[in-house]
Amino acid sequence: MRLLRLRDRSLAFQFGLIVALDGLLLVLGDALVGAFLRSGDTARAVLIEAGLSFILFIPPGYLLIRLYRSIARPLESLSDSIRRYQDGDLSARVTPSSAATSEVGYLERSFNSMGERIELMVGGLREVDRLKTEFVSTVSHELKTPLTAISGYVRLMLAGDAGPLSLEQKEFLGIVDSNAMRLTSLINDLLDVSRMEGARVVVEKSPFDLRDALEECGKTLRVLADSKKLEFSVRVPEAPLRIDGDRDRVIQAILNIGSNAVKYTVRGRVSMDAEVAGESVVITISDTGIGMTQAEMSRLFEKFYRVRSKLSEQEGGTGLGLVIARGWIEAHGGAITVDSTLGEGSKVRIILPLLSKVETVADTTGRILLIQSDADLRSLLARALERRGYVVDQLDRGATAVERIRTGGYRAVVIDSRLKDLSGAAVLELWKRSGAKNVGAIPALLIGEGTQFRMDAGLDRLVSALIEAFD
Amino acid sequence: MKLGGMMPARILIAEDEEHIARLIEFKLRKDGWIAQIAPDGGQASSLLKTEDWDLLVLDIMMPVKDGWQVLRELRASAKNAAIPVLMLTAKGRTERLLAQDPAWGRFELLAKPFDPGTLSAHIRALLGEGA
Repeated sequence: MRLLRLRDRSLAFQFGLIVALDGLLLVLGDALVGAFLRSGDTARAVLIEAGLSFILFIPPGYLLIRLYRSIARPLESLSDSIRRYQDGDLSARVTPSSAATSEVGYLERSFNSMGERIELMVGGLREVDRLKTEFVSTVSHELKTPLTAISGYVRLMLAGDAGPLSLEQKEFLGIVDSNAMRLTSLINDLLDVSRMEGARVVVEKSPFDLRDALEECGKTLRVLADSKKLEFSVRVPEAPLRIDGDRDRVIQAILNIGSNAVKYTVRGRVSMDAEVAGESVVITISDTGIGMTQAEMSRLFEKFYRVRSKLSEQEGGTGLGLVIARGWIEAHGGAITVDSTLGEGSKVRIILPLLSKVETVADTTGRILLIQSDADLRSLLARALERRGYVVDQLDRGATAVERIRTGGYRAVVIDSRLKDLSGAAVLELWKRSGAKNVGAIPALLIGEGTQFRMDAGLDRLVSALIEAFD
Repeated sequence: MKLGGMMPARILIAEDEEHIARLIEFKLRKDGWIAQIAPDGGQASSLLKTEDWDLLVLDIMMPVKDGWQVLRELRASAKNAAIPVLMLTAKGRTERLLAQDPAWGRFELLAKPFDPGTLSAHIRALLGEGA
């Protein structure tokens, strides 16, 4: 339907209808694909304006119908598909209109092939991510196995289980032991950091009271502080600090920062104070340690960076602790800020979002717990359910599921029969046996072993079936 | 089954790494228990079926059957549903989540590398033999 090609790019709007010169111009890319002009004079004006050599005249009525069929209708379906795509449905494609040779047809084909390419790429990235996870876990196992033997036998000898030792033998074995320990914590840190790279860090969330976690950290830190004869204090508010997160990870982050504070303090005190600030909790860890220069502070979160001082040489460490702490805190939607004066001490603030009361109340109405080990299927199901207005909590394994089903206030539970740790049926059985009040009160749906569905057409049917079962 | 607390407990060690298995066996015998090694998950399963044990030390990454599979079978069987299990893992935190499940019954997780003394303490606690 190309009538004219514009030579003047000033008229070349990306796409759209232009009201100009007493008429309408339909422009697609740099091509004028249609014109509805009132008179021959206007046509001549366009001709001059656009530097065209000729204009083909077509009766207006015919033109409008053709325009609708060949452009407006296909564009409508194209923009529909784009919208679906934007909503995250990567399988969205457009059915090519008959005008295969037109600009619109070209757009449709481009959109579809873009979709194919992106789907392939995303699939590839997932595969890379999966391989990386597998690699990390294999390396972890391969490195820790010999370490287990080394430190295990050394400890046996140190404990005198293999006979009495001379003082020197004891001392030397002690050196082997402490180095094996260092290697172990280095491996653990490296594994954590490698998990944080690339793919989004995922934390398994469940609500907990931060005050207990802080007390637990306080116990560990107090031992460290006592050994250096430092004052140590923990202050928490009286009201609970509810946080939705991975308790172990949060503790790890706080301990990493807290042990740094102790490490870089020679005399004086280390304190840990938590207080509510709006929708968040702020944990302030202060010390009267050696402090940092501005330059040192700016490099603080670099991997393997360590503030240069006699202290850091004595104390050891990998320079990964803060990187890991920040990784976990950010994965919880929080942040870490640092304030320090050389020679006076440092102040690190950990900010974590609190689980708001409003949220917990609202959530109990349309909340669904989805337990599925296959990550692709899980996110597809979750999205499909979310599109229907449910709030979906996701778990990738059965082990922690029972507690969540018991206490999560869910509208329904959807569980796959084959999880990577337990069977779905086992999880449901455990829930029943737990004597929870909501047994029988909320529907639990087991996606059977035979439920094979492709990720496009079958999915919607499955979701509809699930929702029917909820109601 | 344990006979009136007079006989030392019988402990099966399911661990494929020879050096680690020997380390555990040495420590357990030293501490007065009867210990035997099963070098893979399959052999562990059949030894659990054919003989009586008071406790299982179970590695996760093993050939034939992994530790979780052995544990699942164990809990499903009438004979060993209640036997205490000490699981060893080199994979760390992710496994800790799994271990929180009350379904595992008397069950504990010990991270590799471990101190043999700590291993013994865990076993004593699982067997209910006073500290």
